[in-house]
Amino acid sequence: MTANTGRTVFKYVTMNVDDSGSTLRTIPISGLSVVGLVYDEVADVIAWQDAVKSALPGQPDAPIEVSGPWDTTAAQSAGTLSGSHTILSGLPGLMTPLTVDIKFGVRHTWEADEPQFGITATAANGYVCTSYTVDPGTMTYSARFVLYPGSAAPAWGVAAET
Amino acid sequence: MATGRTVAKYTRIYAGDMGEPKWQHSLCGLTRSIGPLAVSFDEIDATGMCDAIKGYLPGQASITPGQINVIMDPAAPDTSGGATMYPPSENSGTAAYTIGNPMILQIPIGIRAAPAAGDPTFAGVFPFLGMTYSDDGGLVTATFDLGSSAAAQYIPTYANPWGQLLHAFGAETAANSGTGVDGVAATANGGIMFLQVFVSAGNTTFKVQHADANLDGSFADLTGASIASTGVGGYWATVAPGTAVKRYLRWQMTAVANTFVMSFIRG
Repeated sequence: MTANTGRTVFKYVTMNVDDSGSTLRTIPISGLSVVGLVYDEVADVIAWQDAVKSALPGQPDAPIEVSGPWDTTAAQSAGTLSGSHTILSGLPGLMTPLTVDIKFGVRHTWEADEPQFGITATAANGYVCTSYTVDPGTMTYSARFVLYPGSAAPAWGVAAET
Repeated sequence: MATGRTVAKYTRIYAGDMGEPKWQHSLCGLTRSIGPLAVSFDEIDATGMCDAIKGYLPGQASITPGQINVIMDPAAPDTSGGATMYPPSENSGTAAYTIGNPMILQIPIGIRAAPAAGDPTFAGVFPFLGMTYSDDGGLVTATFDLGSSAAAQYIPTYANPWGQLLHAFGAETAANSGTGVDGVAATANGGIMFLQVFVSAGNTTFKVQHADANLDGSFADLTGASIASTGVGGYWATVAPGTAVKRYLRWQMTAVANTFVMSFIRG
């Protein structure tokens, strides 16, 4: 198949994240926060004498929060769903940067040249997981990822993270 | 042991007061809700002025089972450890829970069936901070507030509340000569053993054993994972950081009749 353009639906969106052994896995999700960079709007550059208020973009941030069904399926190769608990339970507090790759397949399973957002982990670049929460009433989870200090910014692209 | 998704009815909640009396109970029969079961780290902003993007390091962890909401039931405490349990109440006269005491919890989650050895288990010791009674659709319920951190009597070496169930609620009378549960891979950073004894015929030594091959003859004691039980109560033992823990784990005990639940969290 070739890459599609146009609109799509969330069943073709996948969340891919490193496990604690730095192997990329795909986890089941049913909720995803805003994806992308959000810049601080620095308004201190305004002078009294300016006719119009102005601002400059400061440092960006790109936290990611995901939620979904709690699942203990054994770890699978990326592209096949692994259990959310299997992958996420070992991540909170880990000081090793993680690869995150959120893929937006366009009316079919994602393939190269379709949008994705993320970053490939190195020793100094990537995400860390700061929260993993399980709700036994609904058997769902939520997790939060933020960037490692000094990391390059994640970015939109059309090639898979590795 | 199955894997995959599941529903709430296969969750079990084993709770016990770490003070006196030390009765341990299964609360799921009267529990309306619990959670969220959470581990979250302070996000320490470590951004430099010219960094490309804001960056954070995980700081100290908060581990909490959230709140337990139970049906108020003034029946006398059931010391048998059965599944139908009495309401935790500081006013019940023979209360098993005292506000201010630490409470041990093991919460195994069964996968489309009652919890079995190998299933994920949330465990820890938490301060019992308070309890309030309320009306829930006409039903009198009680809510336990278990605080958002470990009890000071129990400061875990590892900031991870998720482990594996080694022995589901049930009775044993003899040492274990069976196989163990698969941890998928060996680890090298110790762990924590949790044990709740619901009924006991006497002093017992409980252990966690580990092995590279899941064969009875391969299992050996895991150094540090040993508890000398004096009877009904909640216990934990810490295996030192840096200790190698082999892939397979199983429960072990001296030959005394006990009804218990055991789990192990890898460091």
